[in-house]
Amino acid sequence: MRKVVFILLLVLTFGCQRDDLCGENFQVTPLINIEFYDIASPGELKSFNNLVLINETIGDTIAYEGGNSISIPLATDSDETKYRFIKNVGTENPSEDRLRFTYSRRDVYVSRACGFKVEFLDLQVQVLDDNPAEKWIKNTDVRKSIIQSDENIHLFMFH
Amino acid sequence: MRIFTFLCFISSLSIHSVTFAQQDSISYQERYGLSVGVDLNKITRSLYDEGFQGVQFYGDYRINDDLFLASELGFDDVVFRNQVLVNKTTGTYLKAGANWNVYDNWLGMQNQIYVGGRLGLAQFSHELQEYRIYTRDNFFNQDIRTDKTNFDGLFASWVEFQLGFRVEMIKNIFLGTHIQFKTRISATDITNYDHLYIPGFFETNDNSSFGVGWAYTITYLFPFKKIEKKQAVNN
Repeated sequence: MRKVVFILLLVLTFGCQRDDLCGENFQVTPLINIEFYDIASPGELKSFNNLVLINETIGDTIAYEGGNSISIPLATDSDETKYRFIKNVGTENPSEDRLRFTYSRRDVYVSRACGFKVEFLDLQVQVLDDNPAEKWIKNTDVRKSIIQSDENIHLFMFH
Repeated sequence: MRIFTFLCFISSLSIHSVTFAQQDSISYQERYGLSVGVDLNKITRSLYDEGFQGVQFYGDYRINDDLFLASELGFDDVVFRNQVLVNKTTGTYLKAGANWNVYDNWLGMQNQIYVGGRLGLAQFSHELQEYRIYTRDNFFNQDIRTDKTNFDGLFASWVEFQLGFRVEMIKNIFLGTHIQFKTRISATDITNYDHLYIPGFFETNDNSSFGVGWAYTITYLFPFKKIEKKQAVNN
């Protein structure tokens, strides 16, 4: 009898793992990964300083002190997301560009605990500025037009 | 085990078929027939659980001393709800197989400790009622989709091992319980979704095809025939 109980416990332990938590190993809705390159020397990464992003729809901000890459969320309930990209915040010469990310979306089932994620397709990026001469983001290059995974770099920005 | 012995003792108080025909042997009647019953667990859960409506009928037919052809027929209407989605599954199922009684009864009694095997078949549909888009950053407001999506005409099969007992409480009325261990053989592929629940199989698991379940069944035995048995007595 004890042997039977032991075997049953063994089966229950290894046969059924927890699936009520959405673990880090599951790819959920990805962020868009952006790397910043030097417009004068396009093969080289170039850092920004005191970069603040403001989402135009909800008004919330994301701030970076410095670095040459960022990972930001795209809206899952709309086919476009607009951010104001302001660099050198807090200095004498801040500079602002508005960026519009447009895409189509599909909902993809992940698991019982994670539910669904959104994948972004046909990514396009526009730098909106009344005066092109004042753009600090000189150019963009979409590297992956389908955003499925956090692991890829999807977009290059040149400044 | 002690509980089972105790229930057998209670049960023995209600059996009167043991007769002392001769001094050197005891004769008693073994009842053969059809047992039918229902799962009390599903009925009570239907009463207190708003997200559950279900019933399971049970039947078995005695073939010989230890072997019973056994079958369950059931209906489930179950809402699965967690933090990210709401799913409703509706469907019917049939399980067919046999029970093997491994318990040596006291004279004239028909209690069982049994192992059972079943083949399970279910026909069902899912309705995905609501889901939330899962993000780890929570920068934007929660994005909840409430368009209902239906997945109809689904089919699944599995094999099941049962371990249980049943005890005669009043003449021809038995109470029993068993646990089920099962493994899925097949299920209709569905695009961009999964089977979170299969009627008769119970909740599925993302990581394996195994499942567990249990039932608490009351049955009534319609005795079709009685076979006289004799057992020698050591004087």
